[in-house]
Amino acid sequence: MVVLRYRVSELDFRLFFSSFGVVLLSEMGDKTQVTTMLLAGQKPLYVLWVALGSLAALMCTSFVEVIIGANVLARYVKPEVLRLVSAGVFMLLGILLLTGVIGQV
Amino acid sequence: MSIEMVTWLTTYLLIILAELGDKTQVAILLVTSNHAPKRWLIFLASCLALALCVLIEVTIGSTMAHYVGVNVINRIAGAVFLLIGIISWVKEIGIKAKAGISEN
Repeated sequence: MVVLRYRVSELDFRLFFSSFGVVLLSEMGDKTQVTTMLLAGQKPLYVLWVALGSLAALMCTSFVEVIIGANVLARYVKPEVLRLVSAGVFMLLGILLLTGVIGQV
Repeated sequence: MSIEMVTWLTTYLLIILAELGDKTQVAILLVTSNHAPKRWLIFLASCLALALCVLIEVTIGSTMAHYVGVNVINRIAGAVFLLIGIISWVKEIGIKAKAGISEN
């Protein structure tokens, strides 16, 4: 009980709501949001799985940020390389979708 | 693999690629570095905020599919993904060029 009370009193509501707001505002209008929206639109029958995949990916990335810090990732892969690979994958997927190779329902 | 698992995996990989090095990551990293002992609370708050975002996105996406149709959305998604790729590529090259200028 003492432990529980200590834990509850340690919860800092100002910090909680400020980080909640920061993440919510920085996520709005982001490319992650656009991607999830379009993926959900592409497969309306499997919206639940799109939501679960998106949530799992976002939780994994924020876990990596919060717990480990970006230093571990930056030690092995350069951020520029990561962003270039991501840009390449998006371009490839866009071309494939536009030419109709994938995504025909 | 069933189509559910394929959908899950595609979304997972694509969102991880889009999210790494994005501004949300920088925001969480800044908050965490300011309040290092309370990182679990920040993780909880960011998870809830991201869940709310995903809920909004999925609702908008499936409503859009209901009114516009999946084939149109496939084409729109192609154009938008291509645009996102080109924009982040050009931005990355621009950052590198600027860094090179300031270095010399």
